[in-house]
Amino acid sequence: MRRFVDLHLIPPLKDLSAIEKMVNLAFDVGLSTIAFTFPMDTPLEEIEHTRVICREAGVDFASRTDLSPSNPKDLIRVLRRVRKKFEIIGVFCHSQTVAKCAAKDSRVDLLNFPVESHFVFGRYSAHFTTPVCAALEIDVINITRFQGVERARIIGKLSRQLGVAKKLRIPIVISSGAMSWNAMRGPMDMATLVSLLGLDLQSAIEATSTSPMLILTRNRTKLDPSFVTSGVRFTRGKTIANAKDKT
Amino acid sequence: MQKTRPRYLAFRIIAGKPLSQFEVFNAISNAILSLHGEYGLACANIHLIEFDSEKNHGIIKCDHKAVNLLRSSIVTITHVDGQPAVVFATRVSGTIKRLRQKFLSK
Repeated sequence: MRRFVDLHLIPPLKDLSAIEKMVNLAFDVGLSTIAFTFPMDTPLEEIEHTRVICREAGVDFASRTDLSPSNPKDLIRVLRRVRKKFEIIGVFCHSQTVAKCAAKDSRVDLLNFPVESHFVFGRYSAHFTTPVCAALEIDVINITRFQGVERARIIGKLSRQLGVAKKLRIPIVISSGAMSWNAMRGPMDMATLVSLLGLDLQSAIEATSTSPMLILTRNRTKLDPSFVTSGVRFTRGKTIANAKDKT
Repeated sequence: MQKTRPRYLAFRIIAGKPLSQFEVFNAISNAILSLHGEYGLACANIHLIEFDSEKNHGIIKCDHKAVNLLRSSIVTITHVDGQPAVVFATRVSGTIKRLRQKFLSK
């Protein structure tokens, strides 16, 4: 059975009732995994408390933080600090240099190009010559919160982003970007909406299920204490310790 | 003339206040009009079959080619009659009998 994921929920973290409402709604609309965005300096206890709320509601939880670096140096410095703390890291790319650096860095999971920014992802696509490690994230809230001419402009911008991502074979992830319960949407509904932007429906469904789940599984493996490097895991600690004693 | 095949879409609304059938139909029509225009609304050929204002569940009929059009439009609904609201498509079926069976079994 397909498991649907929403990797970008931004609840008001001080309001527990709002968090509970969003978690329950996520369960109702068929999301099996959700990621809440926390500020970088959030204590681990707070993250764990949210994890417990989600577990009680029957929803898998992932922690996420969003970075908005002003330059590549800033990005690398912050990444070093937060990579081990959060399961998902998204980068808001406001400039070409940041976008290039974030795309190359394997510690970045999601590239988000804000619709308000003057920087256009598609215009500099030729600069992404090296393989891109991160996935492109499309937030559905960018489409739903505007109307009329503004929405038309954003639809055009997002469809150009999707076109470039398809051309460069960058994985695509569809998220809601919801800050409250009334901005949350069902995964199939989000996929249908994004399919209007030039992505076929099957790929859009993959972008709400398989693609984000792959990113999450990969990161959870890396954050596991037994992980050594890609393909190497520390599995039988006791035996190795015993072997050392014998020698 | 090409035969049109209907599709029935079950949906659920979460809103701050109880809604009438007219308000719901208006909100859905306006959403289609806003995203797909007058031609899209005409092609969709939507009819609100039923709406339970207590449970906030409803069934809407549309043309088989317009299911994705309808589904993508209801995502854009953020307010109904000035109140914050959210609409979720729950199931789609080709016959209303089957939809009710699926709907009630859930």
